[in-house]
Amino acid sequence: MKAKIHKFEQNGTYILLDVNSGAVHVIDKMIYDLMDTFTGENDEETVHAWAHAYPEADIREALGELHTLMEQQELFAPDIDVPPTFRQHGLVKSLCLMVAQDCNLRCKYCFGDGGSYGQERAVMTPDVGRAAIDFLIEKSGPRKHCEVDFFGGEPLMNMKTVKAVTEYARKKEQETGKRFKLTLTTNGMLLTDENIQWLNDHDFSLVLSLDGRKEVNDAMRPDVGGHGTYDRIVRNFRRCIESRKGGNYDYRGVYTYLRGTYTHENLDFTKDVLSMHDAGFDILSLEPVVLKDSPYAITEDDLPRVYAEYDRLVDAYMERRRAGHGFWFFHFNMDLSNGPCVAKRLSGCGAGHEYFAVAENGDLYPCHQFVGREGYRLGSLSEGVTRPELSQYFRESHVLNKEKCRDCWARFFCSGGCHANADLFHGDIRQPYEIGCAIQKKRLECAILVQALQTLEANEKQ
Amino acid sequence: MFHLEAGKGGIQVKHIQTVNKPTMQKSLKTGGCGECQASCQSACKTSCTVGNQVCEK
Ligand code: SF4
Ligand code: SF4
Repeated sequence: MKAKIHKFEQNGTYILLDVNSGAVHVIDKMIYDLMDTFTGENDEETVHAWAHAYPEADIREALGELHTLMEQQELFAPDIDVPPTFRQHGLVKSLCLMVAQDCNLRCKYCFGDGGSYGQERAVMTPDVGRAAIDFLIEKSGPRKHCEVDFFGGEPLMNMKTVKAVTEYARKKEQETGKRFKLTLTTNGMLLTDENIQWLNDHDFSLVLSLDGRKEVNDAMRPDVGGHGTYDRIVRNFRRCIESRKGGNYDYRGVYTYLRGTYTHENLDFTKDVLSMHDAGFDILSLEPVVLKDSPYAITEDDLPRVYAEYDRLVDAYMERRRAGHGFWFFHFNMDLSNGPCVAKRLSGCGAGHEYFAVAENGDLYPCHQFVGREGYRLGSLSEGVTRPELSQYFRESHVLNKEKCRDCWARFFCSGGCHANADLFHGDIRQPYEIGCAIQKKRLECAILVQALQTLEANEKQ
Repeated sequence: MFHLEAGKGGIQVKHIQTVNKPTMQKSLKTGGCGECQASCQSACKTSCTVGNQVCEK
């Protein structure tokens, strides 16, 4: 059955989410219980079922409130079908350029095999990079905002191409009226003053990788020689952040943020988030690693610990915010009132239809994680998309077309999870990876709770 | 309609307190401009889930 509502209790607060409208209600224990029975049209049954626990007058009063919500379409809102605003065919708006399929670190969980993606270590030439910009301009059609992410391996190992492509993209902006948002994801090893200055001058958003505590980071992210990297990286990141203070940087526009990965080895990852905050960084993200058959993989047995850890993280997050020195945690950000439209919620990550990765040699893949994966090459910059049917398959692999997602309460927040992970575990992009789903749902509950707490606490202050 | 209960961390309300003014149903008609940011949710990337995004309109 399609989930129409989802309710949960966390850290003493009861929450009711109306799945098809996105309305979030903080409720009391009685409503929480009644919702086990109440379907929107069975008042008498509900009164009967709970008469042993609550006074009838209270139940009737509560049902009255629930009916008011239904009238406002904030409870049991109508099911959502694919809207006409969801284009039949995707328009590419975002490219990931694998500018260097080579890396100066040897992170133990790397899906790219030390940056090489199972192929020869290689770098992208400026010509391939410029052709990618042309491809994006053509394929994005009337869309104004486009994104280019410089990725690797380690993109700073190929500054020559990064610079050439940036120059070209900025020139093309003038000619075409497009706006390119440029992002670079780096491990920080080559973040010299010169590189920082150049990235700042060219309005780059930066995604900086660090795994939290020094001992955690150094165990997972050694350099080629096996040495720890924390001290070097943090020194560079600090200088980078310092150089951006006072500039026009926020978490949405041109942002700088720190992201990390947690594994089976550090399920107490709240400490890692707080460690990054204590180290002077305040726009943060930490993600579960996704690995198959690895000692670092997160297993089903780990889930209770992972859930409890997110509860702890929520507490720590709220505590620091209330004390006036909060931080941003990406997965707790959620705009409950002005979130994405349904078309976007169906597009999800866009891999394969709105978003492509360009391999070092100009081959096209659905996304950076698919680079080099058998059977997923979509074409190349010179030939164009040679497998439009595969691209279309990605487009149509949205939550309303996936059996598990269709019924899942999280469908319009999660948007169907990561295709690359689904493929890794099931060889089928329409079969989501279960542990990913479990963690996703917990994280969404945390985000909803955090937003609810913040709103109600702000109301109370007024 | 509610008070914060010190210590427990939870918020207690009388019956129901709605937190937001959702726009999802409305966006069935108005959305789809596609100007918003891409949203990869894998660990190696910007890792933002669609639900963590805002509408650019
Ligand atoms: S991917 Fe998993 S969590 Fe996300 S909507 Fe599908 S079933 Fe739900
Ligand atoms: S398939 Fe996964 S890794 Fe690729 S863009 Fe989508 S969420 Fe990101």
